[in-house]
Amino acid sequence: MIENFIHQSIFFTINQSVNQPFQHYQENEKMIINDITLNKIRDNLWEIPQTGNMRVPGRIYISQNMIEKSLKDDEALKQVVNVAHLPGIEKYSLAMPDIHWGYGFPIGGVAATNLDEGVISPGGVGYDINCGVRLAVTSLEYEKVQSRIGNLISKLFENVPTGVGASGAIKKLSNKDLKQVLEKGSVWAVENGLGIPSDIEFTEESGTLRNANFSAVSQRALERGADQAGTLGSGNHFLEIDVVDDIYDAKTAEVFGLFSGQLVVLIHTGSRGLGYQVCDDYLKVLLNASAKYGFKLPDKQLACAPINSQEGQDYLAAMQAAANFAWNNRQVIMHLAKKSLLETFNMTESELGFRLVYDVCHNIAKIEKHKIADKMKEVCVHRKGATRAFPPGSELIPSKYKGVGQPVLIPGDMGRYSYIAVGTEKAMEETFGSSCHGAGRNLSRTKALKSAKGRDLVKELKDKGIIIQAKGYKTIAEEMPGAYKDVADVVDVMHNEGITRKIAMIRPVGVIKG
Amino acid sequence: MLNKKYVRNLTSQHKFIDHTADIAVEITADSFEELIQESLIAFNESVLDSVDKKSEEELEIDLKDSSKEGILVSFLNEINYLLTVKRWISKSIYETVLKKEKNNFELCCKIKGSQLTDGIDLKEEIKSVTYHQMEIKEENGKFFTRIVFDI
Repeated sequence: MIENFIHQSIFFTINQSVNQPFQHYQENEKMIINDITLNKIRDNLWEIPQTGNMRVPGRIYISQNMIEKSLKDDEALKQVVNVAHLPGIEKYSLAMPDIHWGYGFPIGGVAATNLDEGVISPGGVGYDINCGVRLAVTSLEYEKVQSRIGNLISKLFENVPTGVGASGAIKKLSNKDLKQVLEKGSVWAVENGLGIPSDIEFTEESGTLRNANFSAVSQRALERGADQAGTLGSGNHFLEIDVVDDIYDAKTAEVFGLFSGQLVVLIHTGSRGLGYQVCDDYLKVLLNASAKYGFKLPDKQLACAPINSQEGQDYLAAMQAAANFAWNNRQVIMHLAKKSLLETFNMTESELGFRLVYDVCHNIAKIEKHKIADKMKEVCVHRKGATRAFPPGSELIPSKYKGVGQPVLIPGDMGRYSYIAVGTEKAMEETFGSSCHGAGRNLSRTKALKSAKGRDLVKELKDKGIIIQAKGYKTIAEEMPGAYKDVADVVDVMHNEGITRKIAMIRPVGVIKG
Repeated sequence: MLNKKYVRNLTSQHKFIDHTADIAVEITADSFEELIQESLIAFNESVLDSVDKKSEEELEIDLKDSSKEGILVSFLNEINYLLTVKRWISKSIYETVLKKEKNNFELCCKIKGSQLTDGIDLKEEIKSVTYHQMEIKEENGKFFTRIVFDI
């Protein structure tokens, strides 16, 4: 029988003002932030004790410095506490060091629920289902092609639709085509000449979640996605040309096909309007389901249903379909990027040496096996702004990587750097095989626009060796490097805790944005 | 019920508030129906640089939900769908009726609008209207709410 999901709503409701005075004291390795106690477990690991109707404690991977800088004015800790109330949650309500507040779960939130009495929640996935990152390498040395990066960026901007409501990368998909895309994911793109078979192997889940169901996706979602396949979108989505700047683990870098000074391509986008609509549709369904199953929600964005209920299964099937759409999207964009490189540098495929390293998702819920109380158990792992980080030997990563572990791609902002890391056994032990996903914003869009006033950001980036092309200057200003936190801090926490290991750092030399 | 031709009440207003990642707006109005109208104005300001007053078409919508907040979210998501998929701008609403039957609310209204002119681009893409921090409060005859648009 499903227990009631009852929460001490008086203390933890969404009505609670975010303007509570920041209380910070350290006493025997403890901090109190906005009335929430954080007990220090290790230098970069803090625990919120299980109290009241929390079913498990909360655990946050974060440095003390980052707590002081970013959590005092943020509701994210309350959200970690809220998530700890979900029926069937196992071990901990987790958050990675890029924690900041989101809708339902915090961004950076990870929670696993058992399949017997556990729930599934769109709040633990996000609106942009399977937003994720893809890294491809070339055999080119940046120094030798530096003078043509401007041409490359122009060609990319021409070939890859970017921006608000972007459409038209490939023909508008009919419902019949969409059915194929939603059920096959990036396999559809490869079958239609928009990739090569090995691309599938180097994509998380081989680019297809197999229980996707086209019928679970609304006509409205299909309409929103029909002409958006192969489009970048807007906001913080991007396509970057980067150079491998620093290598921390030469052996693993070699396995991944990375070398110092190499030109690589980084793509960040998701399921576009189709995914947003699926989330929207099922928030409504699961709000009704929450009432039906007697769950009292502290936050409507945590609407949920038992995984094994009809509502839960329908959401899972629709979410998987949207995830497949996103993988197809990144596959098509990568194909367009490769085409742009070939056209710009006027070389053969063999000379270009273009190859997919890996594709990861960072907004997803998946059924996985994890060890809980010394037994392997199937659970539904929600990763909301968190990346899978599986260790060496995992059956679910490409054979080529079994000796070293799964690549974990962590993008930073367009003015600094991004990281490639690798999953570890410790991630499996502590975080359901999960790690961070990025940096998070520092400044609101309004403040970023204000900060950009009177500046020539395009020139500033050019002076740093970065060529940018975007739909409008407003996008560049809103997405300026200073608007984001430093991803190095986030990555270092994960590295120092042994959850992921840093392998290489890449820095941008060209960017296209919507 | 709003008058057949809606004249914006001068005491209805909206204010955009600073938000790290998305767009947040606070709305004050004299009735729920006016709150709906004001939310439409705020939505359009978020996604378009300007909206001309000329309306060429009208359509009717009928939405049901178990809460007023749900009705508001459904209404704005409907507007978003009309704009992003049909490229149809909703400009004003009238003959707005909010009914309550047992535990359900129903909003019926007519919307005046027109097709987005070719070549006009949206300045923002709203993924969805969220329920985050949304609560419609009524105090001293005034309605208040906060809406967060996920962009």
